[in-house]
This record gives sequence, C-alpha cells and structure tokens, in this order.
Amino acid sequence: MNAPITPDEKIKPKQAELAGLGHNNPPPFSQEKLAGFVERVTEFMKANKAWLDLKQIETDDHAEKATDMIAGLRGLYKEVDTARKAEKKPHDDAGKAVQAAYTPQLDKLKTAADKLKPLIASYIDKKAKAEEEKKRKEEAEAREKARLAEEAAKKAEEENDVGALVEAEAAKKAAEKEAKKASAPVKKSVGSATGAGRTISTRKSRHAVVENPLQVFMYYRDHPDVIDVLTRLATADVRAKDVDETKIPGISIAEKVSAA
Amino acid sequence: MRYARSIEELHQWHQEALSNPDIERHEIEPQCGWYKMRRVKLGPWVPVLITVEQDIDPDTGQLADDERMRCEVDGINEDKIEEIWSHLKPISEAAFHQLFENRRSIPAMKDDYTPINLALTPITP
Repeated sequence: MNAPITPDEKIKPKQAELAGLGHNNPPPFSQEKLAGFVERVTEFMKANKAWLDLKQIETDDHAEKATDMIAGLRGLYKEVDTARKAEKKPHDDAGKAVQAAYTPQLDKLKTAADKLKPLIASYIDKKAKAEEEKKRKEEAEAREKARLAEEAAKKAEEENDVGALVEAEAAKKAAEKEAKKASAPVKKSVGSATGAGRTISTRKSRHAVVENPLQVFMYYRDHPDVIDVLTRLATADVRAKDVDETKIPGISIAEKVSAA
Repeated sequence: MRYARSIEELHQWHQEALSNPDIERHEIEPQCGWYKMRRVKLGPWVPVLITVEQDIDPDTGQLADDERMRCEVDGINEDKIEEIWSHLKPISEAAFHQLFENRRSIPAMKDDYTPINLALTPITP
C-alpha cells in the first residue's frame, strides 16, 4: 500500500521549476559591466585602426588629435583596470582568507618535517660509515682468503693432489664472491616502518664559493648573462643625474626617441 | 598726427608670443591676434580673436578716432576682454580656423562648460 500523500506534498512545486538551473552559481563578475566596456573598447580599436592606416602624421592638427586619442586610450585603460580590480577584490579577499586559515597548518607540518630530517640524515650517515668500515674489513678478509686459496691451489697443482686442488679452487671462488659482495656500495637510505611511508635517502649537492671575484669574472666575461648585468649597471649610471658617465670605461651612449 | 598702426605692428606681440611662451604679458594690455582658451577646467578649446577697429580719415590717411579693441569668443562679441586676457593662449591663424572646424566635427567639443572625457569617445583622424 502506498504512503498517503499529504496536502503539503500536493501543493509544493518542484524546486527546479522555481529557479533556473545554475541560479546558485553566478558568474564571478558583472557580465553587463564587461559588455559595456567591450563595446567602448571596440569603438576605440576601430578609431585606432583609422589612425594606423594613415601610416604617417603630417600636420599639427593630426598630431594634436592623435595625442587626444592616446589620452582617451589611457583614460579608458584606467577605467577598465579600476573595474577589473573591483571585480577581482572579493575573490582575492576570499583567497587570502583561505590562505590565512590553511597556511599556519602547512607551515607547522613543513617545519616539523624539516626539523626531523636532519636527525634521520645524521643517523643514515653514522650507520653508513659503520657499514662501510665493516665491509672494508670483510673485503680485506675475503681477499686474504682468496690469496691463501690461490697459494693452496698452486701447491696442490705442483703435488698433483687433485682433491686438494679442487677444494682450493672452490675456496678461491667463494672468497672472491665474498669480496665482491663486500665491495658493493653501502645503502644510504631509510625505508618505511609500516610500508606506507616513502623511503628517505641522503643526497649531496655541490655549489661554488667565489674566492676571487676578478678571476671568476674573467672566466665568465663573455657569458650573455654577464653582458646583461654589465649593460644594466652601466645604463642605470648613464641615466643617473649624479654620475659622471665619462668615467665608465668601455661604453658608448645610444639614444632612443619614443613618444610618452 | 596719428597714423594707424600696421597689421605687422598690431600683431608683433602675438608673433613673438608664438615662439616665446615666456614673453611678458601685461594684464591690462590685450594684444591683437588669434588665441584659444577654455571656459572650464579640462573643457574644450574655444577660439578667440582680438582685433582693433581703426577709423581712418580717407583724406589724411590718419586716425579719425582712437583705436578700439574688439574681441570675439567663438565668433561672438565679448566685452570683458581684460577679464579673459590672461587665460588666452596664442595660436597661429591656421590653428584658429582649424579649431573652428574641430569644434564642428568633434562631438566632445560641443559643450564649452563640460569637461571633456576623452575615454568616452575616441578622437578620429
């Protein structure tokens, strides 16, 4: 038997019929405002094309009107950018709130791991050194055994003692195998206790320390990055009012004209 | 005997002012020439013409009366010439006529008392 239908269920319409789909997910900015700007920008682009189609400016009147056109472009840019910032602000504020809420926890976790890693690295290093010492001794012993077995084999060969010879050869092989095993690199990592954690290993990184800047500079003097740095430094001084550019060796001054 | 000043004499100050923006300007001595001014800050340029009326006796060739200054702002007679004199910027005669043309063709220049917002409508060639 079906459950009875109550009066409320008969009257109440379905939710989807009241509001359109997606009504709870509005776009992140005002479409209307943007459409207004798009229209104005399009008009300015058409006008700009008319200017560029001239190829050259020949009269004072055109130069002054083009100056006004640039002022208009700048003014509209400022308007659009101000609107952009205003539309973006609530999202930026929300993003900042999320960051402010989550970042302290992330910082704690990262700092905790960073503080723990050196303890593991120190342990791996200590253990590796002990292991290497042990292996060094084992390798030395194995090599000695192999040497003694070699001598025994030679003696057995001379005495035609086949039984002794076979034993000595076998002993030599076993000793050589032990030596090879002892010479294998020592593992420098720590695995997971549970099986779920990632293995942690130590690694060495190298970096240069500049002892003699002049020598290093001479070595890299033709590198493009060095030329860029020199150009940047010299240009800053050439543009500075309180620097005597004649005192800078090895440069010439180039001038570029642009409208501003 | 008073002779009428020549066109060159009447426009001497204006000619010098075109090439020397720092030329001395006396407040109560407007000079003949072509100018532009604004009625409000950031408002459109308005053309201003200052001329001199000279009554010349045809028999003697001399002035029959004192020279009289005349001022037209946007083609309309303006009496308060001393009040606007310090706001006038000297321009060439060609620029003066071009300004009339621009005021006719650029919609943003139609209202003298409204500052122009160049970001609203682009200025075309």
